[in-house]
Amino acid sequence: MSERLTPVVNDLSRPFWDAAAEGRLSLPHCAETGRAFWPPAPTSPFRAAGAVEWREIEAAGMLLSIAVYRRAFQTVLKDLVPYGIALVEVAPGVRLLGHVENPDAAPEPGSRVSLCFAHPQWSESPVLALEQS
Amino acid sequence: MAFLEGKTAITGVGASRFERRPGASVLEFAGDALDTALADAGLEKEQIDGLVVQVGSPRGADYDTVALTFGLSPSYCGQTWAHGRFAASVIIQAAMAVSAGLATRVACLMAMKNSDIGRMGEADNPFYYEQFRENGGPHGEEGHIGMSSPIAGAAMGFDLYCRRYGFDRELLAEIPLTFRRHAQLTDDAVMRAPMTADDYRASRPIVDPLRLFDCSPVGDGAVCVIVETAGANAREVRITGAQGMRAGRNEFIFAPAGLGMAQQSHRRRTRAEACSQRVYEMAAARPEDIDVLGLYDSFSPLPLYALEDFGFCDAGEALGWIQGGRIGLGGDLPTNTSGGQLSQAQLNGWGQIRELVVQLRGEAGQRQVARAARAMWASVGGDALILERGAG
Repeated sequence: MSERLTPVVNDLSRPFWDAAAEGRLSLPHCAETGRAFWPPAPTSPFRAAGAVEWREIEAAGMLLSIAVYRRAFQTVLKDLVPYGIALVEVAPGVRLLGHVENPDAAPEPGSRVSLCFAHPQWSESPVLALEQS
Repeated sequence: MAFLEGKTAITGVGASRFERRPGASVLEFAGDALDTALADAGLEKEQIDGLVVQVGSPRGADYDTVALTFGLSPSYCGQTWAHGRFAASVIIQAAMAVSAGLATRVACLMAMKNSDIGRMGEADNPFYYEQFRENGGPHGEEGHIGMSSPIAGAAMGFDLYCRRYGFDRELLAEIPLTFRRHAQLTDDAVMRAPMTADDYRASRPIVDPLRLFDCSPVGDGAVCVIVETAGANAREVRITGAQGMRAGRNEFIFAPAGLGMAQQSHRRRTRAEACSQRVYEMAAARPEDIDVLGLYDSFSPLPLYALEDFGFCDAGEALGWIQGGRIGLGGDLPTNTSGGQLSQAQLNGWGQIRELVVQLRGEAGQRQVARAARAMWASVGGDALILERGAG
């Protein structure tokens, strides 16, 4: 079986991926309450049949946790170990996961961090990642 | 009011050997579990008219294959998905079918074989594509960023738990060490070698902060439970409380509600809320009435969350509360007394449910909890049962 690291890109999630291709972070928002939410939904999870608007937000937030992979579950990830997965709150109550290339040099949870979209060889899609200088 | 007025019971339990042998057939395990459960209940297979399967293909056998292979002719069948989580829910479905008159004797079967399919997240595992499931994998996976396996969500949840409540992660050792000691008293446990605190500390890191010994080992085997109307059998165990799985934005499969993992809120369930859940109200019981407990433990932090979510202690207390032997045999709340998924066998909690029945019958041998009259199965997602010794 081939190891393709390909997320589902379809009508529901395409606004996220279109923005990501341009390096921008766009999230679905409840049109009525203005609240951002994740993951994408065709109607607002906060209102019955509530309309959804995609809006760009700053790709930054509070780092809450990093889980560090010491074992690779796929061949294509083998050379990346150790790598981390970060949990970042990018809007009130909205948390996204991001790749952490160098977890040993990552800031402590509780820090404000910036996110970016990386284009590593192992992924066919942009990868939301912790910005590390 | 007791679950279905207390009129349904587990009348038989059976299991295959638990092992890790790629050349075995999952149907051999299923057949052994079915046969021993039928013999235990004093039934012939022709008397089985209901079949509910927990784990189907590709790592288990689907209900139709089970019936075909073993010559069963059920007229009521059900099946849950191919993961864990729904152990109580399967038994609940069987009891409801009996209560509603859709069946009279239901075999609940959890048979699966994992030793030949690699680890979840790996490319040769049939669940590989679940990490790319739309809106996130079943354990929070996001394969395209490298979050490819169930353990990462469990690791992150435990990191959040320790940070929020100020615990040293090394306290977690109490869970795998306690369950390993229980497995050493359990003839059919897969992991019986002694484990010391040093062994635990030295075990290979998988996804920080979790190590190899925080993970249940790959397991092959089957457990079967027979559900009938109460009163059929003197060794029966009555089902007096029940509760199904929760889901929603406040739930994450490897974290308690309100921990702040994924899209969860930060509001944990209060002790009063925990103790007034349906499973307790139905059984007219409180946590302190439970004599022996079974908890879902595919990863070692998970029992902590179930202890808090079901009111055995307050939110944020469990990692301290379990220390000093409290959940071991001889302690206040003997838990996973046959070794759990961590050491007996990874059978989605069915090893624990079988053990609770054995304990309530007083047939647990050197593991027997004295005067065990009321037992509970609970998982962090809400799936729960309260079982009581039959009148016989």
